[in-house]
Amino acid sequence: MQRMLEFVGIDPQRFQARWISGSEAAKFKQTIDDLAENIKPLGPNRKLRDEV
Amino acid sequence: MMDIIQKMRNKAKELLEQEEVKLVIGWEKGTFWYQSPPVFITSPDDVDRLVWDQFCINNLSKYLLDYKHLEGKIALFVKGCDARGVNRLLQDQQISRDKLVILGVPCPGMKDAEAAKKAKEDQVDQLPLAERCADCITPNPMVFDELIADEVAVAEIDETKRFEKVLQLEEKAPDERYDFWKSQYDKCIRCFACRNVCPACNCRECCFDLAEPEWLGKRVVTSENQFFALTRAMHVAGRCIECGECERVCPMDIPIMSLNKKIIKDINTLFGDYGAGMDLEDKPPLGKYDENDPEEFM
Repeated sequence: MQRMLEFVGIDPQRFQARWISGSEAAKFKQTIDDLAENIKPLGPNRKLRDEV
Repeated sequence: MMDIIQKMRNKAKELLEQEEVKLVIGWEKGTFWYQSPPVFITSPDDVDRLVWDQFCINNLSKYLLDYKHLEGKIALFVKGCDARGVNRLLQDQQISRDKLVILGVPCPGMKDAEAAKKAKEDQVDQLPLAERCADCITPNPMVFDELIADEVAVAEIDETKRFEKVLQLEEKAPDERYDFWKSQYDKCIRCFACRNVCPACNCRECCFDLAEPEWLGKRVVTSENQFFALTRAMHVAGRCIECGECERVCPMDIPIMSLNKKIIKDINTLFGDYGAGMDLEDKPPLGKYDENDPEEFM
């Protein structure tokens, strides 16, 4: 899916798929923190949206 | 060509007369000389409608779903791509093999009907092959009960030619790629012809039809069109047989196969070379577990 989004011009950083079990709270937190950190510099996404 | 047609007609007549099959699906001559649409024959008197020429481009496998509940057998003429479609439907357990009489017709490649529109009838030989036939890797049927003609030689197609358009797009900058797909899918009128014709799309209930839950809105707008494109491409991932019917029927000429081929190319890189519908026993890479599967999401 990430490759597919990249192919249609979306920054792959914006989409992450991870396998996290219910008992892996630390991994979940780490994943979200990383995602948030990486995504902030990218700014708001204007692609795949309708112009209002 | 003529003796292939004669053989097809004889075989169809024989099967219908002996009441071995209820229905024969093949091609007939259409309104224009450059069209050979599907024909459905139930009486031995009609077998002369069957033809075989370089315009029999329609993939017939999908029609089997329309006759799922027909009592009695169906005889079906298949080219290489139709045979892959039949295999796919068999793998999805949509149809049962013992209800089919598959008559294989090795395919020399079909001509481009769009180019033919501008040409004269006697120029058939000079016409280019349809795009999907130019890089075909399976002209010979891989599943059949009887082969009507001799197998044709398989042309060597290298990966760069097969995935030419995908590679070209991959080289572009992300914004260029986005603009390209936006301009393409802004044309989409959501007629769902691509889905209706696709042998990989055989769900009884399609997620695009449902109003509840509304997986995807039905408005024809940029965002929803693009999500439609991505969703459909992912839904047929690993099952697309590269018959190119979606692109052929698209009234807006959207290069749908470029999306599908991108996925095929990725599957080949991630899970090893795989051709949907090539081998009935081979499990699809997205439908099985293997210890050596890449685990990018772990």
